[in-house]
Amino acid sequence: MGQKESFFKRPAVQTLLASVLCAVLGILIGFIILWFMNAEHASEGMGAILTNFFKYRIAQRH
Amino acid sequence: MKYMGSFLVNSVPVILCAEAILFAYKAGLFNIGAAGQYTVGIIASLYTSLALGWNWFFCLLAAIVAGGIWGLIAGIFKAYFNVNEVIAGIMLNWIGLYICNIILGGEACMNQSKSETYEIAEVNPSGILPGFMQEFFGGNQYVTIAIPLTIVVAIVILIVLNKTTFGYELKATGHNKEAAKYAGMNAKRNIMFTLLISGAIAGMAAGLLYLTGIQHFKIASSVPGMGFTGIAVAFLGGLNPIGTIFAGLFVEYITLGGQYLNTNYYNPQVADLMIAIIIYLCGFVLFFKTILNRPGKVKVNANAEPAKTEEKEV
Repeated sequence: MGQKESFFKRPAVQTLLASVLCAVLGILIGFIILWFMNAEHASEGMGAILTNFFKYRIAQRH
Repeated sequence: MKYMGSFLVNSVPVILCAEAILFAYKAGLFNIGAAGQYTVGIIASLYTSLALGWNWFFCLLAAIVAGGIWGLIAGIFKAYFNVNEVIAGIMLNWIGLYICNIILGGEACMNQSKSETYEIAEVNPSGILPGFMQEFFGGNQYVTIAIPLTIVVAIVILIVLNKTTFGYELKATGHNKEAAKYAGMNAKRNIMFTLLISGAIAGMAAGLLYLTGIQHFKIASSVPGMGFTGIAVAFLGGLNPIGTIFAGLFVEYITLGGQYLNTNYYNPQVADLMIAIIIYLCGFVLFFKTILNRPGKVKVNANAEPAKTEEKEV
């Protein structure tokens, strides 16, 4: 009988974990850059990036 | 939901460009020319729509064919003259851009006073893609069949690559061209087909975006970044056609959100920098996957006694 494969060793799970890790790391480094440029408004700036996509303006033809 | 619709429509070209790059990558080719194929897709879709007044179906078909031909050129160079597809692709990107500026910059397509192409909905209403669940998206007029078509393309790529002989041949050629040739596969044909299909998908991406009318083309001095962003999206999606859809949505989510960074506190360039860093990090998926996939250390007990074996009498 073959050994049961660990959940975290499955290729699909590893790919998903790696992708999520990259996205989170990217956001984290982005936040650090914002913090270096203007520490006071860094969290506000990050919040704007992460929460404002729904406000995309164009929905009607001119 | 109204704005969600615009967000989804804007995600379409990123996702499809990533699908184009993924398809070529699975066959061992790096299609950096997706940006050029996307550009000729813009030319074909807008010219046939604005100057020739064609129906949306033929405009979209023209974009697919144009992108495919542009990809095929790189494929022919690769197959018959062994020219690296990256070099050929980059050169073709710029050629495509300048042709695009010349053709779409003419009076037939460009509103000279606004320096952007005419509104398709005004010049040729039949050139606009049919709507799709617009009521659900709060009457958003830009929500068209581009969204379901993108999902269909991703599923078709998944099936072609994993469940068909053709897909297997493409992947085999990508892994080892000589071995594939030895096994009786036509390696040259496979290379050309790969770049033809990849280019067609990139051309389709342009057609699906511009034929919704949500964007107008302006004379550009640089190749559209869509083709390059697609590379990061494809890797972030784990080189899986379905994963790429979610990765594309994430990148578009960050891109659109970045436009709302308060420019009173930050230089306007910071938003682009942030987006670039996040997208750049997205390209590290394979690196992290390798780290996660490292086999664990096997503990060896140096004091352990050797296992006893029973000796059989003969």
